[in-house]
Amino acid sequence: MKKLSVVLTLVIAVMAMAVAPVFGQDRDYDAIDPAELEGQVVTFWHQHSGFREVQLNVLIAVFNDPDITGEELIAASGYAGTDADERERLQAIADAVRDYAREYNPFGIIVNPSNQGGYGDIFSKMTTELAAGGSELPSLVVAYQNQSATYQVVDGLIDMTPLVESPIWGLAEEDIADFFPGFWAQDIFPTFDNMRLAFPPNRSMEVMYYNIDWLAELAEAGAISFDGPPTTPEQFAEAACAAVENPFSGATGAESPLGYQLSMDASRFASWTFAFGGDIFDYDAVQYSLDSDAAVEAISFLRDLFDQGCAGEVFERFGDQANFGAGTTLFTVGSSSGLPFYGNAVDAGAGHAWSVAAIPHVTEQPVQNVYGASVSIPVTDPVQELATWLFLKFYTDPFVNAVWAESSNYFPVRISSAESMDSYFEANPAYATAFELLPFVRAEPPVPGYDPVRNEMASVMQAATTSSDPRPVAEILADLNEVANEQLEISSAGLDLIID
Amino acid sequence: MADATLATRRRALPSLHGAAAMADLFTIVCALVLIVTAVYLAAIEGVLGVNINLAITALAGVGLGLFGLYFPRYSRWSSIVAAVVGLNAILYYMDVYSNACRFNLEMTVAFWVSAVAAGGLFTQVFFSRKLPTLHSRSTSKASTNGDAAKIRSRVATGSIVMYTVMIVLSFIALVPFFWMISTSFMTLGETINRIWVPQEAQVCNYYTAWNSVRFNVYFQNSVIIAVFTITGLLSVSVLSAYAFAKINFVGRNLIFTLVLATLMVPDIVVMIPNYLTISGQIFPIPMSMTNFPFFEIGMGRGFSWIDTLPALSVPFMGHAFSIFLLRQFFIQIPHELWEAARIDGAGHFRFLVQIVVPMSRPAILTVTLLAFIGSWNALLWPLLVTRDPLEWRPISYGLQAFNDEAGTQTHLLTAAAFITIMPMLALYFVTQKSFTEGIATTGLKG
Repeated sequence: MKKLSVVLTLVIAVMAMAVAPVFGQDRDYDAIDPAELEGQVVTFWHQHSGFREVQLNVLIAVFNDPDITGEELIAASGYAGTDADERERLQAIADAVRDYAREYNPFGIIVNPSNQGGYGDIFSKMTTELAAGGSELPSLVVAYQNQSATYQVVDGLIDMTPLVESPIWGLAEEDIADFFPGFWAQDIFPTFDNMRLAFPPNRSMEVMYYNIDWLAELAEAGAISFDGPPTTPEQFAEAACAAVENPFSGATGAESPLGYQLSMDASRFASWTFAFGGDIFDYDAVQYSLDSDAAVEAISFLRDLFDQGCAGEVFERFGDQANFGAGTTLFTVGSSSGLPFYGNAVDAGAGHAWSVAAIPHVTEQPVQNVYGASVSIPVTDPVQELATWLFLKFYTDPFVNAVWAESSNYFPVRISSAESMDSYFEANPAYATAFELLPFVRAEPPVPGYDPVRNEMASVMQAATTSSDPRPVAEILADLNEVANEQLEISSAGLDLIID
Repeated sequence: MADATLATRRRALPSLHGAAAMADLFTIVCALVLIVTAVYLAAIEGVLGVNINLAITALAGVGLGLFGLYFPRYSRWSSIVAAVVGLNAILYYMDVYSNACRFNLEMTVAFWVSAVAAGGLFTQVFFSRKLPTLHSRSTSKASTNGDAAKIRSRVATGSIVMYTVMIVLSFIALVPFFWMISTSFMTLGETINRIWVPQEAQVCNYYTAWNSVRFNVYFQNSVIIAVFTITGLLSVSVLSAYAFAKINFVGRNLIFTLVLATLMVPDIVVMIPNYLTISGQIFPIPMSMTNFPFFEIGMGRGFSWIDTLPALSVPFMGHAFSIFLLRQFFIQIPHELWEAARIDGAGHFRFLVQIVVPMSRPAILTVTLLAFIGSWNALLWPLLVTRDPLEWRPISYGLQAFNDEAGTQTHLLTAAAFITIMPMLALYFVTQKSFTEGIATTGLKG
């Protein structure tokens, strides 16, 4: 995948000059007659699978036909099971959003959702299609910010600002103010003259998962000097090292106890750097800052934990989840969208009390790494782009968005969505705790070519924390930063990166 | 000498028939067990539908076994058909496990007995129906030699060491496979607690995996894609390899070198050119039309193979490695055979079809197996050239449904993975001997 990302990014960059004229944009959405929207078919490429896909299909089926019900609805959802409770639940989701569908789609727009693989697969399809001229582009596509930036190298996406600000089709001021500011700003691309190249339907956040019962045991035994979850790196290290000496009494797994299991990933790199008061990108200099003081401190902190035997590497996919569930790992850091999986792991494992908290930080307030793919509108034709936008308005309506958040375990993007989620918060206290952290978010850089840089970050993080590269952390990260900036230069070839 | 060999073979003939007869009898026994259990299960509420399938399978099994007994020459063919029938029953059992999850003890026992019988119907195809090896006499003569004991001792020691090493290596190779099978029968909790053997086999995992992501559709798609790809690939490869091996023409070596050079080009590099080609943007492609004329040729939008079978199969029909492998095999076929065929009035095509292809069965089966594995495992390309999730997506696509961005359902994923690899395993077992022979005789080993 690493090679693939590099090759595709290069191909896109090289073909930019040749293909760019195909995607010229000159749109006046306000001039479109609503009658033209009737029967518009919107193709939506997404990565959702399993229960999320089924529930997304239900929302879309109702958007397409607000009166759909019964077997027709189940068929449209793609649910292949026979569980009566599940069928009832899907029906209830449909009933909840019918009125909204009528309000947003009086035009008869048809959205055709289809899973096109994972994020990487969709990225491959999009870049290939863009390189091929863009005749088979979807109307709406799921994309991380850096992926949207890559598509925009060839002007493959529309700037949604005219749609958002349209007096006819756009959003009211109070609607815009209702979006979490961090989420709203995340899809405005400073590297592309502040265009809005994407729109957020949901988000996830990096959180620290912790074993409440084990921490209580450590406090009771006098092994740690604080109560509750750690809030600073020092407390985190104290508890992680104490856990190694004081295994959890309710553990069901055979693994040796460990304070923290680190999965090597660029998002972990970013999260810990944020927590140490820094950033991984210098937006003034339009350069990566992977060797900033905060980054060096963060990685050095993790290396110390590894050296002391208090932290370990995750060797199998989601192995940290399994060990956390089995009560052999005290802390993990991962996506909030993993909450149901952690719940399953604990229920099937040690059954201990657990929750999530902000990543221990040196800053006054937590700084949480927020991510999650947005959706972008590729350049097709103005009427279809408008039809796609109208579906997006439905998708991000506060109530519909709350229904989607509850179905998917993502966070909603509207502040007022919380008003209809009380019972969900009550049933999912860990989710509610994470929700409280949404005002304290920061995002990873939305720059083209970030995918190969992420791979590099993950491998360097592994080498630095496990000391397989014994050089000082500052030296290792300086090399990493150089490579990342070279990649940025290659990926941005022909672009004038603008930062306001 | 020739007479002695003939006499030896004549003596061995009854045992040849005996081996085939044993296999056919085994087929009949399995089929009879199926009949008994089908009758028993038919008396139990809720499984009547299954028994119609079981009864047909069982009767077909009896018929095919009897056919094999009465017509020993066709025993191999009847056994293959019986295996297909058995496989059908096994697949049907997977489906019926929606009920099996709620089976009582009696039903479970009956169910397993008939499932094992269906498995017997399938596995009988692997039984030997061949002439036993006849070198025992020469070894007994060697035993009279004074040094033979020492030689045997050295050979025995060497064998023990070799077998020990092989057993250890086999164990290392099989552990992940065992883990996959074992995990596929676990609960989610058991996978999380990383135990090796489940307390109670969760066979329902297979039912859940099969039904939750429409595996039946993907399975069917994969079979069709594989059959088309292999058919096309063999046609192209056999003809090309024959030309490179047996026909002298100007520039033969240069063209062959160019073909081989394509092996050095990574697949990822040709992905976009291939995509442009099948989307009709490089040169005109034939496109199936709903109205007359049935096929049109054109370029650009409307003339695209996106979401069609040709997009998934045609780009893989020209395969340099397969041409190389077959050419290496063909080149070893003695030139005298060609001269003899010429004397009999055969041309190149007849020589290829009647002499070269039958002699090259191991190499062709090797190419078939490798092509099947490649086609069956493909994911990136099928995702690239398909839009509709149900239209032509292969089985490998279904696997990812169990892998969420933030977690995985390992027990279902491994069950789905086992379903996915079953056809590959079956094909490997069927072609195992030829595959080994093909690898060994084309200069590809070691």
